[in-house]
Amino acid sequence: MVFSSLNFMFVFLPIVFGVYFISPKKIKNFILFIASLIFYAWGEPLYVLLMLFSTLINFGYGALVQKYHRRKPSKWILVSSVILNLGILGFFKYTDFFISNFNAWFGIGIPLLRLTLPIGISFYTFQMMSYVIDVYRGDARAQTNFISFGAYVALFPQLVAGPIVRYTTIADQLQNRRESTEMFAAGVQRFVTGLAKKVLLANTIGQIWTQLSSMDASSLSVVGTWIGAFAFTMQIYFDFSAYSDMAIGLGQMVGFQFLENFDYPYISRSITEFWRRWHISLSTWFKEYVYIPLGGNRHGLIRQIFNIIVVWFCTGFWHGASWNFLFWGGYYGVLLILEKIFLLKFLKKIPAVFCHIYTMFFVIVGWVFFAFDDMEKGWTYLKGMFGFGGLSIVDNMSLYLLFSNLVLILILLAGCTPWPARLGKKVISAVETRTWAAFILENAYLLVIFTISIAFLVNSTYNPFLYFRF
Amino acid sequence: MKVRAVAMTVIFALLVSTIAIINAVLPKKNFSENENRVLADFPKFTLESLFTGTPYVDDSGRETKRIWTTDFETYISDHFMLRDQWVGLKSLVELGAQKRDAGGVYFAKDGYLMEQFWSYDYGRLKGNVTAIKQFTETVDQQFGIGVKTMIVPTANDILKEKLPLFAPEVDQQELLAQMKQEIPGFIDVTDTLIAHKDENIFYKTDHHWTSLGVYYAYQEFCKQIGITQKPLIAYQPEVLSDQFLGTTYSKANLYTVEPETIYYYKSSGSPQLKVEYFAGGEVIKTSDSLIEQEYLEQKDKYSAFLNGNQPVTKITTDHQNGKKLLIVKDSYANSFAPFVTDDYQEIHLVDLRAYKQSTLQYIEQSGITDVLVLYNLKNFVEDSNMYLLNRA
Repeated sequence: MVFSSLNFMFVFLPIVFGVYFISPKKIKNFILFIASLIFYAWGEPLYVLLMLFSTLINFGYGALVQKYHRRKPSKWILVSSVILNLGILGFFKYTDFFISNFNAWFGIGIPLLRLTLPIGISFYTFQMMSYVIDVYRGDARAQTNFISFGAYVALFPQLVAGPIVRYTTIADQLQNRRESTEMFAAGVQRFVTGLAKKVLLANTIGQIWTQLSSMDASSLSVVGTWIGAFAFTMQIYFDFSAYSDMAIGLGQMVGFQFLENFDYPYISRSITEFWRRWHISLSTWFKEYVYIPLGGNRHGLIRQIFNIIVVWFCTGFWHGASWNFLFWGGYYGVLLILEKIFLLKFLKKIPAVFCHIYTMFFVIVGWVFFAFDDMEKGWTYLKGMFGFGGLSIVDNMSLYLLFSNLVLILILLAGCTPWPARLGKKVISAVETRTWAAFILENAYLLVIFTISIAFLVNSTYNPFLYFRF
Repeated sequence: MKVRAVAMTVIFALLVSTIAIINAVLPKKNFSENENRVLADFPKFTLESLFTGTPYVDDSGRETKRIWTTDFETYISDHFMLRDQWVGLKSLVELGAQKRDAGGVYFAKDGYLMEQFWSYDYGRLKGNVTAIKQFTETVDQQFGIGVKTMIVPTANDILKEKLPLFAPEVDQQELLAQMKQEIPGFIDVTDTLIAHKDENIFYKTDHHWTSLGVYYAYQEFCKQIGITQKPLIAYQPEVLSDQFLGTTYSKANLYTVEPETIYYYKSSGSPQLKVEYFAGGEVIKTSDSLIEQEYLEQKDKYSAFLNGNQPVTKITTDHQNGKKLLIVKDSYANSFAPFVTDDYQEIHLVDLRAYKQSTLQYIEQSGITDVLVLYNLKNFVEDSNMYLLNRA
């Protein structure tokens, strides 16, 4: 199930919240667990068993690691849990990638498994690994209640697309959280804002990308390819951060406080800064559980460079089982190393505007690699962007898309910066003393974007069938 | 702070639950007029439908399976309260945001809603042109009949100055020039239509041409085939409906658009007519009128002309002149045929999208004396049945 659907908002949510809030505190986690399983099983009626299996195994591992805490076996228990978790993830996500490359290298024909990827497996696997590792390190105590642990893993707000919530973040909240109207209202604001970002902005600009990327790259113009790359850049940010907004908002409504996952990444002045602001929960995970255990920056520059490369190939590969993601990860690895060695110092000296241009240039080029599973297509597209594709500079298609979406583009650009949110806060605090004015403003704003979002959602299923007699 | 938080919580909870309850108790419609399609029934729940899914054919014609939850979501959205109004709201927002299209339809000048025509399949176009060429040659050799082909440019071309700036439209004139060169007996109605482009020759809310537009094209047809042209005053325009909102309206769902009038130009000579509709070789319906009134009460009003798209239609008039015209056609011909009832004893209409038998045999068996292929350009370029023309 996805949040931005009529079914989620007007069937699932009212029922689950209704039951949740009338239930006694003791069974609230149980309600969440069951609701989350239904949420997951909605799209994956079979793979829900895989998730339950993983949950059970890791619950067991946590207890075992706890039992042998600071004693020799605990290390081996931890190692086996990591191997098992990565094994499951690897089997479902990467097997076909390895088989097809193996086939290509040796000219043989091992049949592919053609498994569909279980939704959210990369997210929930990482969450559970963080749990076992934190217990091993003594950062968390093993959960003794399976229902609470299951609720943590399957918690429907963050289950399928993050943020990757570390167990330590919500360990306490699982037992002692208090839902409040303040939190609920904050959650509503956050959820509705996220919904509008997803439905009104991400989906709309996404259509332009879908349209342009599905055309033969040789029939585009240079301006057209840049509009496409811009559209994808906007789509992925507004889509992904909207999902995090909705997750954080839904979490708040039921009393959880997750950490932020995005912090206006497109205003960064360097790639290093970009990765501190983009998908924060993932970068944190890799830093905590890969980079620092490898030695981080404590063993000299050469070792540090090696560590960065490892972390970034893993990050790239985590995004998907194909070469373009590996390349994309490596691309950022190299950029980050260059910044570490000398670029950052240089960037500090030049005017900020050049730093922004530099950062967004590499980010946008990066998204082109990211967007095309087929690297050859991505390469052709990129050549087109830089005038090596023999494309005309500009054509009607690109001008039409540009002018027809001007308002949307301006909203997107503004939305990448913290200014709209700051402005909103300023307006509200200006009328703070008059409760009714603040009340009208904030609710009117939310009602408007909520209503329009519903209109867009209904429309997406609107399917006029004009020749149905054939 | 507390008060505002309570207020917001209550508003959200009330709003969501009210919509949820209304959706649940609202009486269900089973047909959407605006979308011209049957809405989903509540899916039957079985373990099999949940885990393996029920088979269905997707848009690209592939057979696949769909699990129960997907059907359930379709059911929820198909029966969402005020469905058409929500869709209309979206178009209004887009219009307000200076967008120039919605649902694949331009908001063109003067209230015209025109379907976007951005690209076409060159191979298919080539194939269709070749099919007509071959058909023309065969008909000439076998029956000594010179086939005429009329491919009508759409509003997007004739009224192109009404399109939004930079609209990346297919150049219809370029395609017509190619067709003209390759297809013998090609009737180009561009100039005629352009000469009258300030008159109401295309519907604003539909992709068809109006009866007035047809009249001008018919003049060109008469000229080419050697029939005496009739002045416009020889017809009595009859209002079929003044509440017409057509296909492009359905796609864009723009509230601000006014309904239009459908005219039917009735010849003052009004011959006695017999109209027979065939399917699978059997007569399924007969009528003494070219207009089927029942459609005028529904959404799909253009289908009043000759009962919509039928596989084979035969019109018999009381002109005992022995002339028998076959029109191989799309829906553009449904409003064209009424004009030629003054000139022919029999008019046969064949729609290749539904008629899969041999057109050549049809010509022979029905003693056809003239043949016209009539499509609008967009349909013609996209049609995938043209090869059937040459079926022996």
